[in-house]
Amino acid sequence: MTRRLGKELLLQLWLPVLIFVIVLIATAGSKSLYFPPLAHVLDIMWTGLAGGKLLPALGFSMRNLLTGLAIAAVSGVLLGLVLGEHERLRVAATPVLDFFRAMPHVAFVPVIIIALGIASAPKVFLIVFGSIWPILLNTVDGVAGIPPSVREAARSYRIPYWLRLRKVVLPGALPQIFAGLRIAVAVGIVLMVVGEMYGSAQGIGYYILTSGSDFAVAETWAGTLLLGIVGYALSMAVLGAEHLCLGWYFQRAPRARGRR
Amino acid sequence: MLSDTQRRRLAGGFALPAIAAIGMAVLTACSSGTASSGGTAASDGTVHITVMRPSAATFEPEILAQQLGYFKAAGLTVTFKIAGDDLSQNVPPVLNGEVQFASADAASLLKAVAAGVPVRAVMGVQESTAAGTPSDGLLVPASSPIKSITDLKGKTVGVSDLGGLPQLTIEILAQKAGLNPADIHFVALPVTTLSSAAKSGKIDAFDTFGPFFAAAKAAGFRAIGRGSNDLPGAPQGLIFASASYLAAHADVAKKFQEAIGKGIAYADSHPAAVRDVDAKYTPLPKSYVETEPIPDYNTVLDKSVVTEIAKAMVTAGLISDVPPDSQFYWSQAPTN
Amino acid sequence: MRADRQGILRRGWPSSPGGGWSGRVLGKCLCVAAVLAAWACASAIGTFPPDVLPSVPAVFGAFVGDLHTSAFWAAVSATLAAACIGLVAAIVVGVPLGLLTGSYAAAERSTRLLVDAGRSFPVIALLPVMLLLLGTTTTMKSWVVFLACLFPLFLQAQYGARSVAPTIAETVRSYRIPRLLRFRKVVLPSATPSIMTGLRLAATTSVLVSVAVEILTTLPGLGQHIISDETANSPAAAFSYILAAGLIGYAVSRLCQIAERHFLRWRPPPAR
Repeated sequence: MTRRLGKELLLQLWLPVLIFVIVLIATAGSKSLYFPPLAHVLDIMWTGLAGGKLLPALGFSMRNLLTGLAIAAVSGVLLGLVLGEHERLRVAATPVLDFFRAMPHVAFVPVIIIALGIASAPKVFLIVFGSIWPILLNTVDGVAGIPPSVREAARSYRIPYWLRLRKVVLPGALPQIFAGLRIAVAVGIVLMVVGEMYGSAQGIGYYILTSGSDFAVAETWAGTLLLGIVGYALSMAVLGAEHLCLGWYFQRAPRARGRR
Repeated sequence: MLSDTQRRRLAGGFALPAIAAIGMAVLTACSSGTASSGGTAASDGTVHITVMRPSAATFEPEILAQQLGYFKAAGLTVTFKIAGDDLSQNVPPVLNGEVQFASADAASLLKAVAAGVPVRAVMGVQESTAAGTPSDGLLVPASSPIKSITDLKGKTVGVSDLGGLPQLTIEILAQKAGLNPADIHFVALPVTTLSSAAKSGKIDAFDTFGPFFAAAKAAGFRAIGRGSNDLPGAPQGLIFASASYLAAHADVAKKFQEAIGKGIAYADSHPAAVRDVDAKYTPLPKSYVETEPIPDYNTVLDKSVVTEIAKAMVTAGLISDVPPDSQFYWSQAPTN
Repeated sequence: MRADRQGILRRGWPSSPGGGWSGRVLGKCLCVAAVLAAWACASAIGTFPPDVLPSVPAVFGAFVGDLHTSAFWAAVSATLAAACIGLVAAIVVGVPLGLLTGSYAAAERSTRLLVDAGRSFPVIALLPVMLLLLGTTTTMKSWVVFLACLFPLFLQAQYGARSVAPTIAETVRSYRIPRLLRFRKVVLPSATPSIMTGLRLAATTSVLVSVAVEILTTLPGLGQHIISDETANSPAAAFSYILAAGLIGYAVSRLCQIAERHFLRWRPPPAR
């Protein structure tokens, strides 16, 4: 069992580790202006986190992002439940919702920031505005996708409406909701970064932008790498939460599932 | 196994990668085509160069040099590109040869040189001057208790960009007046929101320029000091190029200096022409263009003021130390 | 089998819920009207000052006026050109690689970490680094769009290649069908629905990233007009460009959905 796990880990890790080592060695003595040694970049990231400027910047950004995502998740799921349960409303609202989902929300960044300022609230508003749509639409899909037989069974047992919502509809829509949540995290991160790059006095996007504008190339790379790590960690966290909540529902590709 | 329609659809599926492959070829062709060979004589006998000019300020002599044929007279064919807002966006094309000459102000060029970017100042274009009406400066609400620069102790000042010339000018003047510049708290805000932020009390004072300055004064804000007029000789616009290009094509750079110099001389003696260029090339409102103060154009770079600015940047922690003259100025740049 | 297919074709589109066709259209129009009415109310009451949320007629007037200007269409083509180039490059690189890694489990597991990291990376955060490397050029914009569209296409192609039903895969292998033929006739058709989903996602991403890059740099396009109008204190003009960007994004998404439904009539598209 552990041998199989070890083999699996090796297979998944050999390529990333190899690339990391190659980049580390290739840039080791680099004098190039735009490609500082990877070791130097990592060192700056470490010192920045351990008490330098990176940690408060990251903290500011994460606070805004998580607040925005929480608000978007709660309101998106609630609205999605309402829309999903009422057929006519859903069909009527679909074009409007599709429009708001497909539009580039970053277009609103200048308007919001110039109008509402560079504090946290406009940024949280932007994140909510962008990330609510995937959650909303996926909740609607999830609710609408519950097989009618399940609904009829629940109704024939005379399960009260609110209990039905909580115990039947919501869990049934949960896989789709989590899929929407993953997309919402990605959209939220983009809006957070753009909002901070366009108008802000703090935050990791601001840190990356000002490092670039000050020609502090290693700091720019360090901030960018850190943001990548954070984005990856967040999406893994959502995946982990999904596995936790949806242990009873696995959604792997048939090929992997086929090895019975 | 597959029906005709499915076969046709798959064929369409292969057409897409074919188009994509062509697209990829186009992309690589585009990116390689822009690496021009500026500086060597082209087939028409003139030297083709690409120049990055600022979008809205300190660019008038360059346009005039183009319009009045000074470039042609010097044997140059100039293609203009519009520069990005921030110097860090404009440096890469200069370094990789896409663009031969670009513009900057003293503060941002000092930042670049101090960070080790191999660029050199070729000549000045526009500098601040003590003469004439100020077109920029520090403003406070009419009822504010701030009466002079020393009253800024502990106050918040809004600027459009942190670490730029306006902020550094205030810091230099504060230091001359005996105030520790670190006691002034600067914050960057979008330029259109500065006056409303001051009115609502979010900031105590702000530094702005051009039409925003004129509009704020008309709205009742009071000026403290005379803005950039209090630090004459600060290069607000200068031209730079990569050190390697200057080493290999000193003759082209000299011709370029000549042509721009003539443009500057014309601009200095024909303010109406400057207003025309502003009216045509900038989004400035007509009413402002007709009455705006004409800036001071000068090819000479004032070494002492540049050193003062560099020292203020060191104090502000923007750069680690003052770069040596040989790293900042081209050997044949006009300096005093 | 044939009767089944004919039966499906005869039924036409599956009947939609929510009332008859005209009822649905009326419902959709009412919804759009409700949104516009809410907007008009908000600007009339003054919950947001007019320089934050301009009035409905001002925005639509500016929009209609813009449609006649060449500057507007130049901006649209600048945004779309960079988006197209990046998207096409991403298709060329991402789809074959995705199909490859989807077909060979070892390749998929080796690249899983890298692809997951790349997929969750906000490409816009790379903008300062790209600016340092390439400066403010349209090549840089195309590169950023390419990087943003690469991973959705790669993942969808990979997912599609893996979705070949195991029985079919084993049957094909036991008949020793040569690899290339197997790829063309089995893997590619099975992967097509996922690839088309990936194309839809990548197409909307390409427009979004193109606009985002224009907002953060001075490259010409819709985003640049939004900023310059907003800083020049003409919010109605800025909103008209936002509306244009939204309509383009929506149109791209709808076109892709229609194309999907058309090309995949022989196989229902997967859930969103």
